[in-house]
Amino acid sequence: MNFKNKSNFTTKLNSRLAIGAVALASAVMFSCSKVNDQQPYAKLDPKDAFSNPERIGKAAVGMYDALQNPEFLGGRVLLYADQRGLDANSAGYFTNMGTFDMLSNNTFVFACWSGGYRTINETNFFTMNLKENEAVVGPTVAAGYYGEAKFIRALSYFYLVNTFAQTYANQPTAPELGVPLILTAPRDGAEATDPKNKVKRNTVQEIYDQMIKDLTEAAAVLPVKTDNAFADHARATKGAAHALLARIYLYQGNWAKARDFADSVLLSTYKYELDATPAAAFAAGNYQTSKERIFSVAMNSGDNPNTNFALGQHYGSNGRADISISKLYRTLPNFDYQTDLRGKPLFSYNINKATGDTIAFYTKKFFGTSTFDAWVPVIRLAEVMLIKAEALARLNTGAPDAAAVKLLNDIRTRAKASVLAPATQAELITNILTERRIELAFEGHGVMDFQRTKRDIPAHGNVVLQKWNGNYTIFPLPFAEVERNPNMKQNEGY
Amino acid sequence: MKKGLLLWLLLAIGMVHAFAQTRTIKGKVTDTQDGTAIPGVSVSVKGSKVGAVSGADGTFSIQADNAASLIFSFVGYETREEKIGTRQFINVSLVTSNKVLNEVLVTGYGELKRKDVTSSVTAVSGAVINNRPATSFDQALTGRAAGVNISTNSGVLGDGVNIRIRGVNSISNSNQPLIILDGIPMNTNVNLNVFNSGNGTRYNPLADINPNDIESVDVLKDAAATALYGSRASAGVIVITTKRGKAGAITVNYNGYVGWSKAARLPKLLNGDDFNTIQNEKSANSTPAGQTPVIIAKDIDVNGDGKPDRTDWLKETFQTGIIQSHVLSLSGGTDKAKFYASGEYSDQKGVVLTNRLRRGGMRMNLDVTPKKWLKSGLSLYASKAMNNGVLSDRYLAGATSSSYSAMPNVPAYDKNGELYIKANNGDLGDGNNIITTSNRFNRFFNPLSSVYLGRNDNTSTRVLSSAYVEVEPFPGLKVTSRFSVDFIQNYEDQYSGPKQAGNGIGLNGLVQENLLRKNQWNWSNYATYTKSFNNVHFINAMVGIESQFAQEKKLYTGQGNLADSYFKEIYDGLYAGVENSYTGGNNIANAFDSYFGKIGYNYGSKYYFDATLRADAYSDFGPNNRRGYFPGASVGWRISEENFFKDRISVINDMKIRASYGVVGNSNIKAYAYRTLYGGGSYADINGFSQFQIGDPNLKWETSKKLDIGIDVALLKNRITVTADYFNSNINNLILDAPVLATAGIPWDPTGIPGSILTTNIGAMWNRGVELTVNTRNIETKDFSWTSSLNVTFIKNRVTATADGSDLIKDNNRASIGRTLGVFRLIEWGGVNPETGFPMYYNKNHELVMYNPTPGATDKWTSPDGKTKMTPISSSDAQYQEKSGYPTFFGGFNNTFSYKGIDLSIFLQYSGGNYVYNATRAALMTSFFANNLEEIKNRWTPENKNTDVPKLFLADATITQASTRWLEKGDFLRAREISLGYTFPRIKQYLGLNSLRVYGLVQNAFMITKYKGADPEINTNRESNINYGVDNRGVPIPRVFMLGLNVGF
Repeated sequence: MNFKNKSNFTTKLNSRLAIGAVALASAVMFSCSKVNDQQPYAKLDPKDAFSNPERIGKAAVGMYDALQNPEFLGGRVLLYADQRGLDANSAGYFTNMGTFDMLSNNTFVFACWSGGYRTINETNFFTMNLKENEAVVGPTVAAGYYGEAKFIRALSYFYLVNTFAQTYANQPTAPELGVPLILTAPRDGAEATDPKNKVKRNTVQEIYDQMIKDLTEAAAVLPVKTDNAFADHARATKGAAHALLARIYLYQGNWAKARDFADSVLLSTYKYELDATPAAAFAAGNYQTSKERIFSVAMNSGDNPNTNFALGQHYGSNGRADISISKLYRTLPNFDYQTDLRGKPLFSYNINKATGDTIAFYTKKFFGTSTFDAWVPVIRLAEVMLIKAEALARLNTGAPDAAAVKLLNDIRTRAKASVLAPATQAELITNILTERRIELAFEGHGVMDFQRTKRDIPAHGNVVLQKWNGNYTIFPLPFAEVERNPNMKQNEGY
Repeated sequence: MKKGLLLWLLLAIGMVHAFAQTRTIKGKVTDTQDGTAIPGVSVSVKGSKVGAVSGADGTFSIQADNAASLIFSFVGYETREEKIGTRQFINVSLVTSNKVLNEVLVTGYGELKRKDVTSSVTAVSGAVINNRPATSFDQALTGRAAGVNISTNSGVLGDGVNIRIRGVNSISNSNQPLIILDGIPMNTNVNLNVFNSGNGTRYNPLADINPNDIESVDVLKDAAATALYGSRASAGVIVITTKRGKAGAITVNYNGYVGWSKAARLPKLLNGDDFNTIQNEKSANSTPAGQTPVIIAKDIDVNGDGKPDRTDWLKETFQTGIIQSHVLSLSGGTDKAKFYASGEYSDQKGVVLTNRLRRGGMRMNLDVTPKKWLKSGLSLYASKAMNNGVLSDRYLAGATSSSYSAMPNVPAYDKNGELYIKANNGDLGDGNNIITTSNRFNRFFNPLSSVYLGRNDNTSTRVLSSAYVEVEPFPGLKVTSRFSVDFIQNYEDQYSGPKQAGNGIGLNGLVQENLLRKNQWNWSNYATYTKSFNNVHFINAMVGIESQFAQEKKLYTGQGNLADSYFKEIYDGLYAGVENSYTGGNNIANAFDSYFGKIGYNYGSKYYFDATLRADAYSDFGPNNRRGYFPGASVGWRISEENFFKDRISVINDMKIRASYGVVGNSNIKAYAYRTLYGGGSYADINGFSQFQIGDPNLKWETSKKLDIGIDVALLKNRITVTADYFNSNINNLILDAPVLATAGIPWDPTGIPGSILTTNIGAMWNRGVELTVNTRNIETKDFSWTSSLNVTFIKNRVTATADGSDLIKDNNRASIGRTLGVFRLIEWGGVNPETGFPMYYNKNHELVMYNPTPGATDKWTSPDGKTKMTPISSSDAQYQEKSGYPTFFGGFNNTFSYKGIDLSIFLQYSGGNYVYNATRAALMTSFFANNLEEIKNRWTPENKNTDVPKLFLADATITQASTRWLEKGDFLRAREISLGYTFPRIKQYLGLNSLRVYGLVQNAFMITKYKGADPEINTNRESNINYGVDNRGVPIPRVFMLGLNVGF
């Protein structure tokens, strides 16, 4: 150094100070290093979620949260069945669905498939964690939760298999491909990406067997009635499991079992009964008091605050108002929509102010307290009665079955519709199938009722006739899924 | 003992020299411009071989006699000769010969002169950022730096800007570079607003910075430059330096401008008459033979003026934006204390109705040097911005998108002057049109309703501050401690009126508020040491530690079913039913702790070697991979200093070859992504927990291995400088939101987009390219000068690995192995069959298949002659297009002319090689009932058979399905900025002012492109790296005219 500007003493002092400062700073800095203790304040570890009985109870509720998946049983999967039926006009929004010419990369298709399996995963993940922590609640309480998990899983499979695969009635001439049966959940990232997830499609038969097994086991442990009105209507009950079993046996053409399980519901000590009017069964205030609604997916406006998914948004005249009631529905035989309580009192209208003409009719079935929070009607007593009526009608050849006619007319009388007196078994069956359309319209039976009864979907509007088991009456499998999983066979024609 | 020996030796040498009548001359070499010492200057005695080199403090010592002259020469400076005479101390200052070589680059934790830099760094002067309108400063960097591709997503105020340094460096993660402002690592979120899933009003935190405060921006591109930032550096680093005071008189500067902006290009839509014709033709063509076609489009006369109502919705929605900005800055100081202070207010009204962004900012930069060995200072910046946003692009009810589709044959207002909307759902009134749920694709909204019936604001408050202490215990060693804070408070405020379609009408009015507070502190401590040996070996070393913590809290409330729409600001003391009250929020935090070090060696400004290492531990890395190590190294060789070169090649003034290699990371991971978690999952009114995500405990940073080989040349008396680089980045361990088979059923992306994902390190890709910058001084005379600056970058990208080898799919784009990221995969358009007017597509066997949209047609898919039934075109017929939304070349070309006081600058930006999926066009050519582009008038008719627009049919989605029909070249050349200014001469004399300049500026004056849409730069999927290059009804970048005034007191 040529220029010395400080004494050695100062230099040394300064360097000592500096070194001391750095040492101190380092010590302070790393004693307050926060790298290893960041917790996700708004989320919790599975082990915490299963650490006490109350939390396990909440994790069980979470399965229903998954059931509310807006892409699936939050309403869309029901709507998809009706888009391909005759009673709702096809909405431009669901391009190509109502006209039976979807492509396999259709975003609704992927979302629906994903939504179904997302729900199923939640039940499997819950079951896995509960098994490991069963001691926290004890076996009896756990059994109830397992029952709920099985009910939700079976319900999801019912819609998946009927949306993505040919109807059971197409059996057994060809063992039709169903959908993959997934009964376990990946625990972490490694398991989620394991090649063993490249599953094959199980057969339709295998799916039905599993649904029956799940529901039978669930029905054995589920309560007939709880002391909670919400749980009686929006969580799995014995009645709900039996009602779904009745529907599944009806789809299988197992009339006797369909009748028996319908009877289990009708004779249940819960004492289900029809509400005073069809409108009453759909009134927001009655969701939790109705004796007719056996199982619904509950909603509040916080669940689905967006304008895109709620059934009330699509079907209601006050929301998106995408889906109006078709003329084919309004002109169904034995249906005077001017007087039938399922007609005008359940319709709302879009009227051209200038001309006063009614431009479109909408259903009022999904008027919640707002257009966002209508409960999703999955199964109600009217359907169970019609299931029993149909089962009886088909079982008893010869003269029309009197009990079936009575059930049919019970439904009609409630709606102030004329009493029917079918002359033949065939006429009775036709009447029941028509009654199902009138009574259960927009509740997700649309195309599926045609398929299971081997009826073609007649040409209507711009749509040409679709064979009941035609390639395009069912959804394609999502293109992305088939592409990624070579074991996944695409549906014919897609 | 040793010291004594040395002293004796020196004395002895001195005596020997004394005999030769020479003596020791001492002195110091400094830079004329800023007075700083210049080390490494070669000092030689003219006509002899005696020479010396200046030391780290610029001092030298040489033996010479009185008659001799000393020659001072150094890279980047004019050589200077000094006669010795009787002087004992000779202090000289050297004049820069090459500005570029002597520019000071602010790199990691220090500064370097360009000539000593062996990594790849581009400096952009604040002069191109200051005093001009930009929604955020980074927008002004567009086209200015080689290797840096910047695109503005849309013309909506507050929208983010995509910065891609040397290509796209990540697939699922953010690609934004790390931005360091005066040592403060800034928040890198591009959009902190959350309403409407982030598609509503956007808030880009970079827009909080006052661009006028920026002195310079240094873009660090290769790993040698960025490795000091370790796990955050893979997308590059942008170092911003704000203005600081200089010793001398206090200067006061005012800059103000006013201007106006207009949408440069908007879609050309049908007018009311054409609309009626087209819609009714759709209906007629779709009517089965023998039936009477329904007239679906019919005029209405709501106002009763006897004329059919007509509305040009674009005119209703778009406006001329007015812009103004005022900045006052003060600067000055003494040797011991310097300051720079500024205040800014700007007000931009956008091109969309009611869109307005106001910002105020204050800055204080202070540096004090109380002792020679102590320096300390601070930078304080606070700003507040208010954005009156509009809903646009992805929001169909928003002002812009709805104005594209709305019927032009209905009025905007009814006869009472109220908005023409339906009472039941708030939609645009149908007029006399026959609109059914089947013949329309979407609902129609009155574009004015979201503007006038609702509110989409956000107010951001930002504090960006740092303080430092620098101690120099002895010359050469500096110990610095710097503490910085980046604090953001953002208040999002949305109101949907009870008559407004969507949430408004559905919930009888909705007020939603979201308060976000993000606080990040960073404390870095580092010591640098510089030392020279024999005045030719220069060593610098640095070690440091750094710790950072960031926490983001959000508080959300919503209130529906308002008792009275008066209470749209805040809802208090009133009841609306528990069902209608929403609250929620989030709280996430992450922390870094890091060690870093650097060592540099330079032999006589000729040979360079630098090495850096950083070790980062980060809380969002999985527990199995908490800490990562990131090394970088570079070498440089200044050939022009070699004798064999110096003596022979005089045309080249300076030439340096450099190479670097290093490993850097990307740690932009979603918070807690490595964990498997449950979250709140209520079922109606019942509380529950449901799965939130599945995690990967091995989750770690993305690794980018970067190679750079470059050359810097100055020639023709430094009139031309050229920098060229080849770069190759190999990126591994890419963090992908890897799609997991849907059947596995694991949770979706929290945004709710269907599809199970796992955040995991899987995937790889590379970017290779070359970049070139040429700066020339073409003409330099006393009165006139002309300088040019050109930069160009060519880049190629390949994805080399993905999760289990399958594609990541986002709409029509993919990440696919062996292809460029974002490759389009589309069904190939086969044109219109001239005989039938039906659309045709190619199937996977490259056969033409014709689609017959006629209602009731039994064979919809046939060969073009209609005779052979064909398999319907399906998704599996889509083909990779080997094209993506990413440009393969881009750059800028600037020319500046000055004549006396007049200056003119023309800056062109260009970009190309990319394709844009024109989803706007696809949507506006719809066969459903909706307004169309004028292009549809060229539809097929029996009289117009040779066309690319098929015969019209009503409500058929297949006619306009996704195909290469909508894929267009995105090449463009844009006159990004043309400015003309006049600086008044002799102003002091007449007005007593230091300076006075008036200027005018036009941004986006014109654009040359074949792209049919509004602007090929629009990128509707803002943050997505896969479906990049999609224009879906985005607001085009406006054309801005402005006049400015700059006064110095």
